[in-house]
Amino acid sequence: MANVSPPPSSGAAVAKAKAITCPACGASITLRALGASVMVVCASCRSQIDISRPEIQIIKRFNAAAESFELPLGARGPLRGQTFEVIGAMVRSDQGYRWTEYLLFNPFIGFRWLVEDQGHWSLGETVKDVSAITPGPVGLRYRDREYRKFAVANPVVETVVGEFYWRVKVGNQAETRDWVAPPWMLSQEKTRTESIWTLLQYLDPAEVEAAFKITASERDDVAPHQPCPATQTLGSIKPFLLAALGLALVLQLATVFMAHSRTISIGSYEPASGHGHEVVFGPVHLDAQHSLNEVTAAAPLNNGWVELNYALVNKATGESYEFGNEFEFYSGADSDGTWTEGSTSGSALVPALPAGDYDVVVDSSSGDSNGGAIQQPIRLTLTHDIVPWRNFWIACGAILLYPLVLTYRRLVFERRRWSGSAFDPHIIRTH
Amino acid sequence: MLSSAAGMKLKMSLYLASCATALLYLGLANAHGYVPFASPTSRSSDHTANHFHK
Repeated sequence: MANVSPPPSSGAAVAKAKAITCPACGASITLRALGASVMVVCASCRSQIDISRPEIQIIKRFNAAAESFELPLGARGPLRGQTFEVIGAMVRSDQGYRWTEYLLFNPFIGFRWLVEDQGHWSLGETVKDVSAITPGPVGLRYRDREYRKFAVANPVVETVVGEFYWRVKVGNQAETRDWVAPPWMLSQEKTRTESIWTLLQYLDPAEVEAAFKITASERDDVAPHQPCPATQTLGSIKPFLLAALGLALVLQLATVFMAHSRTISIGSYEPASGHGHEVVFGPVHLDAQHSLNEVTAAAPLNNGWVELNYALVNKATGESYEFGNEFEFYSGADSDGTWTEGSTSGSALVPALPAGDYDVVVDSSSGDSNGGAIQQPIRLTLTHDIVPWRNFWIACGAILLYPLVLTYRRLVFERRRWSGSAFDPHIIRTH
Repeated sequence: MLSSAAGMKLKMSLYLASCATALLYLGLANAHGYVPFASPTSRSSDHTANHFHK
């Protein structure tokens, strides 16, 4: 903030107001922090007036039309449970980038800063326990928060109106350094003689609008210490996320514990007699009430293919469940050496089979390099009541989807935040 | 326009509902031995001995 002197420690002793007449233009000026303020800038003609002594003197005449501020001098409003009055305002700029700082006053708690920067608002208070600001792993540490360095600037006071507790004038320049830990910002302001630290907290513009009954300008881009909405939402849903993942794991472990996972040999199928050779195996007994089963076919194929059609026929009800699978395996050699392609086995998942005794009806078509059906027997097995892990991963995906979207949004938000900084931690610098 | 507190409450409620749906799906699908993207299975109650060549 633009103060180069610490504010008076107690407002209670300076809770007097007095009206004076501007010696330059004759306008009435109400002094709201009489006794604490040392100078005032006339809101009408912007002449700077010394009020530190009984005989009021003009420091500097300035007749340009007073700039309009979003918050007028004398505006009162409650912020964070305390009512403040706007007693001073200044516009500062650094290389064409401008922002506004309002000096607020409450006779019982003293001075605060209200900063408006591209539609973003912050409430600032001078740090008194400066010794508590210590170097931290990412920048500075203050009150158990880690602050990252964000900006270095040399702002100049462009416009000033109202009263202040130090002598401020247009053209005053200082060196500022900002560190952020959203929604907080630590700002250091240095001159040749002094160093002042201010702790700023990001305010929702709606809070300022409601406090001072104004319509604030639209927010532009992301403020250095603006809290990321996605981060806030992630924090809120985290307990649900962990509980849901834990419950999903418990459900899956219960399924694993209860699953039979028993492998049953169906038999050996001879496809040699060609297409349409239907063989009935079984019966096989499936004892789980409703189960996921995997039928696997394997044959020592070489340069051949097999296509199998199955029907699991419930002996009690006559209901049949039909499905198929195929596999192929080829090998050879070329200028790059030997090669293989495909597999000598194939499997099919058969879901939701009721318990019972089943005949397994198998039919096939096949072919080999000689143009006929394959000669090798096909070994058929059924693994009964296997654990359906696919459901677990789908449930985990559904539970993690929104947090992942929020994580992506946070990443984008942080990129936008740090795109305005020369100290972007996402950029790896080489020296 | 929802206030930020109401918006957060709505987001949390929707997320809670999606978690509950995912867990319900997991429980029911596992209990019934169902998995998506399994082998295409057709079901019939008209079985004869010459099953595939009726």
